Amino acid sequence: MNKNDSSRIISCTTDGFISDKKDLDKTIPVQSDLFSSLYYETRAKLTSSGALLETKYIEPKGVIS
Amino acid sequence: MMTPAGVELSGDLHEYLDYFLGSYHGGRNESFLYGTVKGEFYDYDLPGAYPTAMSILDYPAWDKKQMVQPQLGSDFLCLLGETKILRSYTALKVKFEFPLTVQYPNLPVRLDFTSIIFPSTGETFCTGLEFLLAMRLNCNIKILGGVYIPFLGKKYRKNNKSRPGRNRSIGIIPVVEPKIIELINVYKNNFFGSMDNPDVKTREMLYSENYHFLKNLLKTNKETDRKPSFSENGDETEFYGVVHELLDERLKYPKGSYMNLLYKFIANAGIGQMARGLNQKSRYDSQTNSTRIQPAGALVSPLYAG
Repeated sequence: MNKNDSSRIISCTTDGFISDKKDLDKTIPVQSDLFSSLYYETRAKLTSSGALLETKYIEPKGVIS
Repeated sequence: MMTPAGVELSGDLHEYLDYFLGSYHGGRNESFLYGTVKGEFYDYDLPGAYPTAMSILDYPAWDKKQMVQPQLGSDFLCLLGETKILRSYTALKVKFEFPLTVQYPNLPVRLDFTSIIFPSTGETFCTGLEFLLAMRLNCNIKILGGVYIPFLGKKYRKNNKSRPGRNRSIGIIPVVEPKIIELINVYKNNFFGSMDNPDVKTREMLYSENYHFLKNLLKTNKETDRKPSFSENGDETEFYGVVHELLDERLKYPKGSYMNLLYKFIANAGIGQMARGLNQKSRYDSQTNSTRIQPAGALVSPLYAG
């Protein structure tokens, strides 16, 4: 998100964030970055599920931050 | 430890403990926009972030500890490389400046006793992972000092079946290490193993994170019973084994069931217990119905917590 991305991050915590970027969980390149690939591989080994991100909730109208 | 005798009896722990304590900042929780924002928004989550991160940890190779001398961040990175820093407990004191194009800098700086900010420039303590991410964001870093302790690695584990730290007579952190294994086993064998339908009182005890309760459980466990219940083949650390076992246990129960959630809670609580008491934060204590400073837990270690 730091790489000239026009989308916004509203807020973040240690293990998540709220953004207006759609389908990031489906499009994030898991193998291209040191941290994401390490997390992806470890997660896959632990759970046989390689999901790096998951969408917890979609807010259609807007947010108050 | 912070007494004259404590410092003297701690071996060389006093030389580098400050770096690890300073680089522990707790969890991040930050808003970048304020007010009402219209549009469609997505709440993304790293699934199982805490247990996954914990599973990557390893015991520190104390005999390979190195103090980091003042130098440029780029020189330090060239010297060790990303993988070595990734597989280590590294704590650094740094001066830094991110490029203006970086919208979300990642180095935490204490504003006061209760607030942490993530500015574009500043001076702070950080972990090796935070340093690596900052360098990837083209941050200009000057290291003022620090300490680097590599992970033990599988080569050591293959040749040494006894757990490190067992035989150290002095020091705080190494003595704590095996307890992560012990605690999980005590939890499981003495408590959860035969508990399919916990009553209300038991449930309250489980969720109270009562230190004395855990401590008493540890006391009831005989020394001879303290064996890890998972196999170690040299490729996986004991931390990985604990997390893997907890996730396996969780999957035995239907999603959303009490036991499924309970194992999720235990796995997530691991990292929290490693940091418990480091910040001297006040918490509500249901036993005394009052607020008190949270004491250190049996698993606390600033190396693991950071």
